Amino acid sequence: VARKSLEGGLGLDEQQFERFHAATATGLWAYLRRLGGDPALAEDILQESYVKFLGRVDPSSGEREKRAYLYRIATNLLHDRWRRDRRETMGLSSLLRRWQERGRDTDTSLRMDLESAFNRLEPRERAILWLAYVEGYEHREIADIVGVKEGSVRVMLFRARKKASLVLDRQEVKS
Amino acid sequence: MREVPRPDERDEELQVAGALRQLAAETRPPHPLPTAGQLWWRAEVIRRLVEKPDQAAGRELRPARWGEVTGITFALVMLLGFFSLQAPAVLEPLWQRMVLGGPRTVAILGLVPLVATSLMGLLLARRN
Repeated sequence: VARKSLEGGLGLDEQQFERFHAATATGLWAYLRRLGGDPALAEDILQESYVKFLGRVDPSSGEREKRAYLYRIATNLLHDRWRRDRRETMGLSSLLRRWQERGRDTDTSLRMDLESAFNRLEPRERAILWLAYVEGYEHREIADIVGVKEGSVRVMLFRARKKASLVLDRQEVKS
Repeated sequence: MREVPRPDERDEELQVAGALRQLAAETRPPHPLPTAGQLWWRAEVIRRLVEKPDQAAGRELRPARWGEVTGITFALVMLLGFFSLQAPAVLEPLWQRMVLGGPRTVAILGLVPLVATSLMGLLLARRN
């Protein structure tokens, strides 16, 4: 029996959420892992995203809209975390450099090649590429998730794709 | 709507999309992620804890508020009854000294501000 939230409560009951979670959890974790570069951070943000999502989601929205809304929450939470980390510790650029170096140090397998190629992109470029080619979102939906204009997504996606392709070509030549 | 890429861009798109999908397929959590049940209950507990305090307080205080309204109404009715019965006797000496008309008029004039302020108080209480 699905447990329901108290009066005026969560957007989905437990059973509905179980179905939604099963369809989205692994994909969202992978997105956060590749965007943020840290498995523990990805899990942390994933939990926070679902909790926020449940408290705010419109139950009448469609599955695809719900999914896009979840990704928007997760992307915003990750940006917030970056901003906080940048203030508290060293700065986003050095964090990115660290991830890139970590990727380069272990460039031994194809997976590591892809990983390091992906890590060479800017966080927003990674997000846009992932949302477009892994999650299959339209430009309009990506714009909504990432928080930029639809026209900007088109340009940013084009540039990110060029950059990624160049990095992949170089790695193919090297190997 | 996604644009259809030119043929030279098509290869590039296929290359990048293929690499990303491969990376996505190989990106798996090192250990099981929190279950839907755990997350749902966490969200529910947080919701109950951070529920707007005035909403919760409003629900808790609803019986007391109704009691207050009933009490005020009852007091007003009693007061009106008392005045309508007792006012002529009480106000008789006053009436003898005043030129306002009969004792009933004096009683009614005395009650008007009382009733008006009580009604205003009730209305304000309901709005809040």
